[in-house]
Amino acid sequence: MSVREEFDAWATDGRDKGMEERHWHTAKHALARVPVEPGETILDLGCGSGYAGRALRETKDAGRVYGLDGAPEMTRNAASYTDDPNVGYVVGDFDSLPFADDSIDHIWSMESFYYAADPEHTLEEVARVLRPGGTFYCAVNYYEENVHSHEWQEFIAVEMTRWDREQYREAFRDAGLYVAEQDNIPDREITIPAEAEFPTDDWDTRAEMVERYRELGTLLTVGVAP
Amino acid sequence: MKESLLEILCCPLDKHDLELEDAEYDDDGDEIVSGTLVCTECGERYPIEDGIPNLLPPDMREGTPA
Repeated sequence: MSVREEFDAWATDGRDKGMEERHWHTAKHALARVPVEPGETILDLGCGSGYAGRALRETKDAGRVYGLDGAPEMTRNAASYTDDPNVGYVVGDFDSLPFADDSIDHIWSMESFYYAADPEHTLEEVARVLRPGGTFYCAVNYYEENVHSHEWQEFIAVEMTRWDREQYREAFRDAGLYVAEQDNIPDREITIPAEAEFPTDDWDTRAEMVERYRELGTLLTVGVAP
Repeated sequence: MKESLLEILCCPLDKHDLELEDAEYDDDGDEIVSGTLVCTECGERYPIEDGIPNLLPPDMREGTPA
């Protein structure tokens, strides 16, 4: 199954909104760090429902925000959630970005980068479309140190890239991006039940759930284009 | 899509400029609802469907009504 087919199906049965709710706990903290100047152009890679780009428009006065997704149904849903004339959506592939060189000020990506068929090349494309000094905020919950995420691959028919912290930094550098920051952003909002309620449907022990959300959380790697 | 998006869009394959053909606009005339984006270099054609340009490389577009 292709990325397009998988996520068209997600969009059609409304799972785009569920993704948004789950991601927001940590995404909002990462979004707050993106150094957007009023009027700048933002690209949201793998935008899904498009919530992140719209948040940057509303909170940081971004000039134009474009969401790119490989699944046409996702972009259709995203477009239906806003009538902001400065927000637009594009169907496209991470490995062949349809944007001109140096045309974007900042790129955001939450929980989507690892679906790239050729992630090293995607980073080269990111470096190409970013203007000098532009940033790439890449946030993932699926990564090597987060052992609790490893099983996710079993539930999805698209091949996922599982790098560790060092591999992310190395790949950014290999693509010509400077690594400005790397951080784990804990999810302090998800409700973790009392000890007596474990095991739950999803978790054997409370300690595992605490590690997954409160300690590991979202891995954020920030690249800066030269 | 707005015409302003065309300023930064390019052909996903060879990164050359795109030209808008057969554009249909909404009632206000500021939103392109359908049309075709054509690469000025390789001639590849990309559809605009429901106001959203589909710039997937042609071999990934299978199953998408053009």
